[in-house]
Amino acid sequence: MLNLHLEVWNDVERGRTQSPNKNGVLLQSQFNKKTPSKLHLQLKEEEHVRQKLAQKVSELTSDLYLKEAELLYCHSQISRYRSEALLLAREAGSLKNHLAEYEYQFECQSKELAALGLEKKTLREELEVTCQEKEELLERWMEEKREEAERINKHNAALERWNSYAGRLNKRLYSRLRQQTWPTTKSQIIQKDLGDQPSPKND
Amino acid sequence: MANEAHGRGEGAGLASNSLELSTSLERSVQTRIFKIIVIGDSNVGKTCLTFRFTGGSFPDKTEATIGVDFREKAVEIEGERIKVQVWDTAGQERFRKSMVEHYYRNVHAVVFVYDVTKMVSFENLKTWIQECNGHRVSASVPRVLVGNKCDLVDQIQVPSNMALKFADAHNMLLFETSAKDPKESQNVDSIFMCLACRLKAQKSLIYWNVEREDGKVRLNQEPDPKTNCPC
Repeated sequence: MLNLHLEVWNDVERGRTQSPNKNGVLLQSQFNKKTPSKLHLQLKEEEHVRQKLAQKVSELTSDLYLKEAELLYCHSQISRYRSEALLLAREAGSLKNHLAEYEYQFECQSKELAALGLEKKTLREELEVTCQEKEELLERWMEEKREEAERINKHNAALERWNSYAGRLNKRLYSRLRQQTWPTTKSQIIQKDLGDQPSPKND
Repeated sequence: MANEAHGRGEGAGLASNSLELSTSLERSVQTRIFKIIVIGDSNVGKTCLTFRFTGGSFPDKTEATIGVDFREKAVEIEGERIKVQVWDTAGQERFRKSMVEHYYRNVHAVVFVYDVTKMVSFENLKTWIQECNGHRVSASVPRVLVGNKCDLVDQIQVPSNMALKFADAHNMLLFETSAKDPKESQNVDSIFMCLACRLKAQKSLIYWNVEREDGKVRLNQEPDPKTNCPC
């Protein structure tokens, strides 16, 4: 402002010295009359203010455009975010439903797991009992087989003894038959019979 | 004269009585039984082999033998009906404990079985022979060596010459056969029939065909040309 005043003052001084024409005389006279420097200063001030205001208006207008553009952008963003929010809300709702469903399933499966755990425990116990029974059965089966083997061995031995004994008796009978058919060899056959007699151990 | 005639009549009566007695004695003689045991590693095919011989077929499914399974087949050798009693023994140690002594008691013949596709089963034969000897099985008891599963030609691990050497070293006959292959069924039969023939020959000498006469030993049966012995 001080500069402006100084500038205006210099302009007035310059006008006084450099205008020897009629207008200069007139101006000088007007200055002289209504303190023209003051008015000029006021004018200049007004002009300056006007310029400043104009600049400010221009700045504000550009700001306004900018803000309007920003506002538009923000509106679009808001609309986008709104739609996104709606979508997310829907998704959240769906996820919530899923969560509830999963929670329910989890609960069911937990119960099922507990039941299966119990069943497994029971089955394990049963398996142990069955294994024990199997071992016992196997032992009994082996015992049965052992007895059967012993029985068969005894039967085989008895059969062999009987066959042997029957064969010897048969032979003795044949000898007697011969003895009766050829009495001359009687004494010899008797000797043979005595020799053929089965020992008590063998019979 | 009358006494003599009477004596002759008495003698004839006695003779006829003796003949009747003799006939009834012959009838009372039961069919002889030859006990043959089949031993070897588990899964070599002992059960299938015995099943093939006694049943004439290959079993679809077999379980591990527990203790012992008894199978019998009546065969006729040289006009005599003989029962071949096959003892199919367990190969797994846990299924044969405390049974072993029964296997070897009064055994007439032993069949050692190995799997031609498993060298281990052949190598283990030594153990089986040791076990057999350990139970005081007489050296006169016939023993045969059987290589089973010879139908699996691509998988054979035990060469025939190796098995033959082993069999010779232990004075055994060697048979390579397959219980599964129907073409080999005759071969399976011949294992047991061969043993039965040998046993019959042995036992005949002991009980039947030997007759003493005045302190001399005479074989009273002439060899039959119509013999049906497969050996």
